[in-house]
Amino acid sequence: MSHTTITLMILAGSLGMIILALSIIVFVFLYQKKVLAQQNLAREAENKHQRELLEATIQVEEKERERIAKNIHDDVGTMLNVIKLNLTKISRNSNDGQLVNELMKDNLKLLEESIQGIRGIARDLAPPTLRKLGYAKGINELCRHINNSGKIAVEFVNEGEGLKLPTATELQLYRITQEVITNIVKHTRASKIKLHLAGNQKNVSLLIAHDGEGITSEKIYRLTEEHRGIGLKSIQSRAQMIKASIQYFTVGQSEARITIEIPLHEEKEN
Amino acid sequence: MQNNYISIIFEYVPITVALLLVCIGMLRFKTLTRELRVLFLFSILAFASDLCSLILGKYGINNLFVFHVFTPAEFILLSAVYYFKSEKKGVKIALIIVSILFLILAFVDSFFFELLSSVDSISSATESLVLMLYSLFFFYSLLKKLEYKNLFDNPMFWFNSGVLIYFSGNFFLFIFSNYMLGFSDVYFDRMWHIHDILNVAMNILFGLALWKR
Repeated sequence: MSHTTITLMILAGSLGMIILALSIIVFVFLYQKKVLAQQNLAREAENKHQRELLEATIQVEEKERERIAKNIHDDVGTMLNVIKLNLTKISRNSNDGQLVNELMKDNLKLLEESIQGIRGIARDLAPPTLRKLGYAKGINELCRHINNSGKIAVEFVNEGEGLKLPTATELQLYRITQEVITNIVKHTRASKIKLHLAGNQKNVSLLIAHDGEGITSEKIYRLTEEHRGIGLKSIQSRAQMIKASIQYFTVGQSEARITIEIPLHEEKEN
Repeated sequence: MQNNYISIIFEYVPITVALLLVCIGMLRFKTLTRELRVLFLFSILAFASDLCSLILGKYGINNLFVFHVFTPAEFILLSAVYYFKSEKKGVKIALIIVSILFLILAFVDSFFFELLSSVDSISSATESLVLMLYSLFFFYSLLKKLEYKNLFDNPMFWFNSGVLIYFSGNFFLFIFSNYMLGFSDVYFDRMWHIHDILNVAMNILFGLALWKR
C-alpha cells in the first residue's frame, strides 16, 4: 500500500468514526427525547382517563343521592304527611269512634309501608347481609330480591365456599355485580342470568352469563371513550380500585359472558 | 511561519484545556459523585501526562514511554467511572476481569511487542475498541432506563460522549501510529493533530460532565 493510500485511510477512517460517534450520540439524544415525549402523552391520556373515571364516580354518587332523596321525599315523606293529616283529623274528631278507628287502621298500614320503604333505602345504601355475612350471602340476597321482582331469573352458583374477601373488595365487587345485572336487565333483553363465583387464596373470579344480547370488551371501551355510559365508567372505576380485570364477550348466538378476575395477594384487609 | 503558529496552537491548547479540566474538577470536587471523582483523578493524570510529554519533547528526550504508562492508567480510571456508575454486580465483575486482562496485554505489549521507545499502538487500539463498546453499552442502558428527562443534565451523558468521540476518532490513528512514526517525525506530528483535536473535544465534554455533576 502506498503512503498516500495509508494517509487517506487514516483520515477517512478517523473522520468516518467521528461521524459515526456523533450520529450515535445524536440518535441517543433524539430517541430518548422522542420516547419520553411518547411516555408523557401516554401519561396525560391515562390522567385524562382517571379524571373521567373520577367524574363518572361522582356523577353516579350524585345520581344515587338524587334517587335516595326522591325515594324519601316521594314515598316515605308522602306517607308520613298522610299519617300527620290523619292524626290531625283524629285530634279534631276524637268523639267519632268509627272515624278514629278507620284512620288508626290507615295510619298503621302507612307506618308499616314507611318502615318497609326506609328498610329498602337502607338496604340499597349498605346491604346488611353483605356487611354481616359477606359477598356470597349478599349476592344470594340480591338474587332473591331480583327473582321476587319477577323481571328476570337469576341463579347464583358459589364454588368459593369459605372464601374470605377483604371488606373493600367485597363491597366494590358487590357494586360491580349490581351494576352489571342492572345493565343486563336494562339493555340486553335477557330472560336468565347465571352468576358463578370461584376462587382461592390468590384470586377470585366471577362469571356472569346471560341469554340476552351480548357486548364485547371493544364495544365497552368504545362506549366509555365516547363519553357514554356513566354506569360503565363506574364499573371501570370500581374495578380499578380493587385491581380487577373485566372482560365482556359472547359465546355463540345464545350466550353472553362477563368475567371479573380479582387478584387477592396484594390486597390487605381494611 | 504559519506552520509554526499552528504547531504552537496544537502544542499548548490541549494542555491548557487539560488544565482547565483539572480546575473545574477542583472547583466542583465537594459536590462530585464517586464516579466523577474518578474522572477528576483521570483529568489530573491526563494533565500530568501531557505536561510530562511536553517537557520531555522540549528537551529532545523520547517521550513515547509516557504513552505506555498513561494508556493502562487511563483505561483503569475510565473503566472505574463505568464501574462506580454500574448497579449490576455482573457488569462490575466483567469490568474488573476486562481491566485485569487489559493490564496483562499492556504489559506484554510494552515489554515484548512494541518497546517503550515506540507508540503502544496495540494497547491503545485495544483500549479504544473496549472503551467504545463500554460507551455503546452505556448509551444502550441509558435508552433502556429512560431515567433522565433531559440528557444534557446528565454528567454521564457528556462523559460517555467524550469517550465515544475520542476513542472512535483515534482508533485508526492508534493502529497506524508506529507506521506514521516510522515514516517521519514531521508526518507523525501532523497526523497527531487529529488526536490533539479529539483530546480537546474529550476534555471539553469531560469538563461539562464535571460542571453538570
